[in-house]
Amino acid sequence: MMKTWTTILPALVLSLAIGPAQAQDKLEGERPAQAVEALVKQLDEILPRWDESILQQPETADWTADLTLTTVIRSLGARDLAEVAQKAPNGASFLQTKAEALRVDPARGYVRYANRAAAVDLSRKVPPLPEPPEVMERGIEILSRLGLPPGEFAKPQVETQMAAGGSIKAEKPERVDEVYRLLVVGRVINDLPVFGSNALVAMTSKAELQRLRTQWPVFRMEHSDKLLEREVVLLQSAEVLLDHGIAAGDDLRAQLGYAPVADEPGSAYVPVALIAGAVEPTPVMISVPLVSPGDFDER
Amino acid sequence: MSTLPMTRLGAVGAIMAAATLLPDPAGARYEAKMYAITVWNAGCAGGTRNAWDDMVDAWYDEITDTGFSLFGWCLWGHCGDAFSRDGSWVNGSIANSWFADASVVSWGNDTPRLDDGDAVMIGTHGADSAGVWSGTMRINEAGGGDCNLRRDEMEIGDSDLEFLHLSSCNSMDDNQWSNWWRAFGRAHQVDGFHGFMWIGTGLISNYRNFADDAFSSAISDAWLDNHYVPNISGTDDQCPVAYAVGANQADATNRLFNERYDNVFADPGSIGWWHVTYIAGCDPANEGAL
Repeated sequence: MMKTWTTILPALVLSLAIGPAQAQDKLEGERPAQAVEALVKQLDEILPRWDESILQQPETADWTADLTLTTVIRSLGARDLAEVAQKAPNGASFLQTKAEALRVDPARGYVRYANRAAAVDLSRKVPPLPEPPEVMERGIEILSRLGLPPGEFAKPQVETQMAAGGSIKAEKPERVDEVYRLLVVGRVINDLPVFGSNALVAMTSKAELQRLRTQWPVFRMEHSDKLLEREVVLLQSAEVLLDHGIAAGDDLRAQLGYAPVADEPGSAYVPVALIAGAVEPTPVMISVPLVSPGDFDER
Repeated sequence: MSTLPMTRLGAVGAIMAAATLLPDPAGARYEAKMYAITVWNAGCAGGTRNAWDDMVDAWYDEITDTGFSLFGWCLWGHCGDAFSRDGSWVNGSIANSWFADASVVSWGNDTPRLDDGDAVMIGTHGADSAGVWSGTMRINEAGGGDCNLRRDEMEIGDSDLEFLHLSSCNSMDDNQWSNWWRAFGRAHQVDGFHGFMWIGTGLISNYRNFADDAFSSAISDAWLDNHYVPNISGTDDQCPVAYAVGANQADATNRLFNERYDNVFADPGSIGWWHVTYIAGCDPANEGAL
């Protein structure tokens, strides 16, 4: 998110200082006014409305407060690692054995566990994977036991990781297998998605945990943040999209959500307009803050 | 390089100054390289994508993060397993010959560029050109190369490269799987996307986490875990695909599901089999569902 703020913030500050109407004059001076107006109009139609409730701070406990290698090992019952952990010095964030690996970074809400011994072996036939309801129940249980707040879970999805391959003479895969069942959990705050925050649990055909990853930083907003006027957000969004060669009439989708202010551990979150431009040659997703920093905010 | 949390610094701060004086074992390490284009204004056409270099750079910083070790314990970062920083190219004169092989096209010269790294990520516009991935270059090169690098101009790994990561649309479409092995010299794995992949500052952390995770678990699993984004646009998914080769099925699948940045296998002795891993039903823009 750093680039969004470093590139967007000066323009937002300018917009606030001179007011939306004058900001539009400036934009119109640099780009064809019709192009800006048409894009703003399209964005206005697709971007949901927001109000002060989007600044409501959720009251959830800091799940990372007690997040250490030891607490994760205990939670997952990772026996191989437990022995190694006893010898690890304070400050260690990574442990591994031949069979298991674990990295923990509380500031990022990051946990990566790999049960290497449970990696699929395609030299044998892979037994059927557990049914989705079992994966859902067990996966949620694992994440909850780790301490992730279930109240922030979006509707979980059960997916299947596949493997397919063939000899170099084959034009189509000669072998296709289901190798792991995955539970993928997004995050919601105030019923809105938190972009880039999620968790994943992979299970083997024996319903063993094969790997796990969380990216679930503590959610914190600055109380001093103030909502921007809709016109400012629309203009700013239009400017960023035009920078990327995206214009009115392109395939655009918009939603509200939250994103971290900076791509740094411990960064605060802000409400944003998430705008996806499904355009060739490479689609773009931008996040434009709905707030300006408060008077004493040094961002 | 990622910012070091102060709590960690405090835990070992007293001895850190002395420890950082230890010799850097970079000479023994694998090498990482990155190539990213954000602006196409030097002869080849393409829409500006400002975040691309930040996305690829996040991977590059993480895979080369030596962190800090103490008496044989790696406290953070990847310590002796971290790759060395062998070069970062953003915009400039990125050209077709840098990635094409002289054994395939006479003007190719990938040996000092792409094929000199052990793990390389390329970030550029991509497309499926009649079943062949094509990446957009920055300059229209004189002497044979043009604005489009094609998979069928490449032979990777005949000099050095083991792992190629393509941050590029249509770089691993399902209709390309039965032919990607043709670009492998002695490379081990190519990771890419089926259909469109997305650019955005909100995706930067996925690139960093991919590199981080690939030291703990298989590179292929890390690629899927961090780049699979369901409903990224509200309707379309982002669909990563990891692709490995081997002498036979057992060799290719063993590599696909067990090779990590800190567990690099010997080069394949021959190529008789290819294997991919992906998410069932993943449905991106610009391609059908997997």
